[in-house]
Amino acid sequence: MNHKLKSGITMRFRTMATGVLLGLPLLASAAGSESGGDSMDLLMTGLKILLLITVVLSLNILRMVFDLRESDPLRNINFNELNARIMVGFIFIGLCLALYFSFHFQPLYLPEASSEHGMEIDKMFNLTLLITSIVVIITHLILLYFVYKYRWSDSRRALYYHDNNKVELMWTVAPAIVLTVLVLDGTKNWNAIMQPPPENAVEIELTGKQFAWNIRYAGSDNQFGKTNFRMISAENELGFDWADESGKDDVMPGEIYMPVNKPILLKIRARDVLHSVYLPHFRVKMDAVPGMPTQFWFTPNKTTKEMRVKLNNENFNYELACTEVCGRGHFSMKRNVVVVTEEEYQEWLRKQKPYYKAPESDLPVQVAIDSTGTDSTAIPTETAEKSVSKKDKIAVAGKIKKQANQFLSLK
Amino acid sequence: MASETLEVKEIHSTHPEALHDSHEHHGHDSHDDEFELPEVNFIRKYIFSTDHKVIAKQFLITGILMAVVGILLSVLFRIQLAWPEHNMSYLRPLLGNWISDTGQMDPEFYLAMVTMHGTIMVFFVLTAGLSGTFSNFLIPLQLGARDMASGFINMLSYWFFFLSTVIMFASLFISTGPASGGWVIYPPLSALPQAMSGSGLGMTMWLTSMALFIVSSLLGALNYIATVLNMRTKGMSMTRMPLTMWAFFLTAVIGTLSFPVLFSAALLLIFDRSFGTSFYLSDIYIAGKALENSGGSPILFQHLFWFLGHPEVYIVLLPALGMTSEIISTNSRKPIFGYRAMVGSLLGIAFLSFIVWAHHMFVTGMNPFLGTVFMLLTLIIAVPSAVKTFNYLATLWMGNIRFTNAMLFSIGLVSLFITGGVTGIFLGNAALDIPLHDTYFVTAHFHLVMGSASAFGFFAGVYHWFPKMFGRMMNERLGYIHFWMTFAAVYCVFFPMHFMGMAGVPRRYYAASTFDFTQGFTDMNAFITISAMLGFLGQLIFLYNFFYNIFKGKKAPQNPWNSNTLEWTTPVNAGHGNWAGEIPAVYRWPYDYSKPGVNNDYLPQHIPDAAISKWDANPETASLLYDEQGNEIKDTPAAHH
Repeated sequence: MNHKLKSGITMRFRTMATGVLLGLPLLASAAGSESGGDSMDLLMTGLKILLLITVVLSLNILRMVFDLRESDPLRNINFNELNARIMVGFIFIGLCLALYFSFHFQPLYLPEASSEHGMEIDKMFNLTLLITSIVVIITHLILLYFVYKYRWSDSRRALYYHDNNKVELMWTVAPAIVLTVLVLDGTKNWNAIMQPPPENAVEIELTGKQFAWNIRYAGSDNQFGKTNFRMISAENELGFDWADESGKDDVMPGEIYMPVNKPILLKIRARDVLHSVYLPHFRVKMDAVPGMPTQFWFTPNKTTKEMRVKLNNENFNYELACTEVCGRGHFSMKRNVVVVTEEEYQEWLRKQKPYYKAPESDLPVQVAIDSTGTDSTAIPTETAEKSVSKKDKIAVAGKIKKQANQFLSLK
Repeated sequence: MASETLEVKEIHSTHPEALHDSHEHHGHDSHDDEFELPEVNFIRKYIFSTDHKVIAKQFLITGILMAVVGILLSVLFRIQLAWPEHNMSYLRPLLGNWISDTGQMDPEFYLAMVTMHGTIMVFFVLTAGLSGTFSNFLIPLQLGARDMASGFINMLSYWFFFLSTVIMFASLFISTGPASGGWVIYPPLSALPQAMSGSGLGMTMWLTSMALFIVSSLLGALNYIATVLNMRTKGMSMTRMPLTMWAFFLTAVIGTLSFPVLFSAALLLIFDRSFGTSFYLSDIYIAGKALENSGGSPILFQHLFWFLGHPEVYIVLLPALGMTSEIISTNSRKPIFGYRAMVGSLLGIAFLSFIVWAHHMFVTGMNPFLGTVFMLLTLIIAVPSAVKTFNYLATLWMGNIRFTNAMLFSIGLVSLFITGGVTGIFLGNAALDIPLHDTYFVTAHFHLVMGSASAFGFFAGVYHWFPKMFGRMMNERLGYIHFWMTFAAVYCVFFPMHFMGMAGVPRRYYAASTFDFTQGFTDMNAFITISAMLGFLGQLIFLYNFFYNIFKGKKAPQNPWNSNTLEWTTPVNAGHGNWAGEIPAVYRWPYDYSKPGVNNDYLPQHIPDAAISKWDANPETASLLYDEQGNEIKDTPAAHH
């Protein structure tokens, strides 16, 4: 008796000691931060001490609840029964909550796709969602039922039954058939999406860099000028080879304009690391790979205006994002996308000024990045880029001066 | 080295009498049913041990410690996601200058934590911690071998892993930060220190650490394969092996074939980073300079990476599936349903895992025709997975279920395997992958099916084999609390991410404030983070339960779960060599639970038909061996007790 009491006391003491040991680093950090000395630090210290006490107390409580061998307060509970019941409740309530919230969050999901292929993808998504939801619900209901029905009973013995080839065959073939349907559907859509673009597609070039997208249209001659990454500089974002005349009318606006119901061909490039063009509303995604141009073509079928009416949201905008991690500003690579009618598009295009500025020109050099005002959250980058590359044959001393003037005038 | 290996092997496999003798000499003054190799000192026994059981525990404890680090990182970056604007100065004692003076987390450090969380959890916890632990522990025990084919190589495997762990962990503390380009470390981001500070020394350490990890993994896997193929006890045909053995065996095969490819990928990346080659680099203008590199392809890296990366998913998952097959059968007191189908589906998954890798690359710009092929192959893999699920359910059917901690986690695994698995049907479908790729839908998918399901397999394994590992029992009730907290937390954390995925929210975003379409999840993000924190607290209960009961737990009986497999015929605290006397021979498959004509609801593998009635009358004598005629084999130390 005496011995037991004694060991009980030592045990409790040990628990306290463990608690203190666990809390020591906390205390140390508390002491460290006290040097600041303002009320916030005091509060934090207080919180840390409270946390320490909680840890010690809960360890003690845990021991009392779980380690008392003589008078176990929970000895009358049939834990097997309890766990079976919790499992039933858990699965049932879980399924209900999952269903409820799937509908509840519907307003947050992407709206119906704004592109032709996107609507096909949506259909597929819904079909797959329906099938898989049924599978999840049925299998979980079976799990729930079996777990409860066949919970341990002293009076019962499990059935010694372990093979049934017919059943195995059935549940091999059934998923195979369902999957075949989905694969065929997927193949059909994938091939349609990935087929070569139509001749008359509007070409837009998107170049990813840390951390912005450069947008380029071919201009009046409908032909992109040649570029070379070795010619890139602060004044020559894409590395235009100005010897190539077709580049001189290329425009680099700050927003993407697209005519509705016309095939759009995105020509995608990256300047430094991987990026990924992501137009969620159009169900478009394609990586931008340095050294390997990629492309994606699609047909937008709802203008921005139509979407604003449809969603009853005046501020709705299509957006372009990056989905391949590319560095600290990865989350902020945004461009607005505007879908307009063919006439509006042509008018907008006419208004765009070419990126090319003759070295003699008095006009300030247009720097595509940062001039659009969409990068307010972007983190300052590319300070090094402000220095002009040696290889840039176009750069002339006067130009740098002009840029400096422009910078000053902006201030 | 070769001679020592040979010697050890000889002692282990061919001279049980020698071991027995040493036991006779030392037995009385030290331990009751424990015996040791005579010359083993503390360092050889616990640190540079060649005993597979000790090595398994080393893997386990290293894995658990890395899991604490990995999960803690996720809690930290979840704080950023839940409350992006709030003042995080209180994290400065822990994170130092990665929290700015104004209390904002550095975006690169956010990416660093995401990267390290992924790396640590996938490789250090779920590969080494799970497969390393249980392959090591169970393969010799369940096959009836005295140790691995080479104890020495096995020891090397752990110490390479340990070194790799130290380097990876140390990289968290360097001033430029650890690797930050995502656990997939796609170049050029990971190749160019100009692109982000984590791609400097942090990336070098990552690559060094992973190279060592791969060495460790290969040494381990080759050993597992050799052991499974050559060292099974008498009567243990391949088709009498427990499903755990099949799973570990196939995991090792997958690892052996795929890890070297990652090694080559890493090697080429090291060349690109340090020696000016251009395997992955071309046409790059960065930090105000056009690089000289030309002709390389970042896509090449992705192919090489995912050639390991996808099999890796199954390296992580198969051991969990194998162990839970065993645990579900044991605790349903019912044979596993469709043993051959289970083996077949494991084989199918193992084979298919090699030819689906490019489904991670549908939108990287690779040839669209490949997309079609890989979509087809990927969706085929759902068939064996479905077969496994149905077999699990059929095993529960008409069973007599005991909800031990291990069983709860196994049932949890079945649920997670279904919920997380079905979303693979979306993502494996190339057309559907276009909008879903790299969104939270993917995060939800793989965390449920690979991360959580495997973690549940890990917990199930720990709870089930803890008595065999440490000779003591864990506290069941703490286990219940741990299970329910974890199960609830996992669903609360990862299920809502499907909704974010359906809204198109991209992964690895430091903040959702930039885009209109990512707004609206503020509350949900907070909910997820709080759930993650509670889940983390639940793991503290596990840690307490685990470490406390190593020393203080109730003494374990020899066969606490009335299980059929061979490991429960060893002494409670088995020494090096596992069986004190002869290695038991095997007379039946491991799933004779509730067999008609047998009184007990189990019938261990080592009981011959002729001895069933003898054993049935006295099942507690688990060490007692019988020959084929049903006679007791007298000359075992267990018989003396």
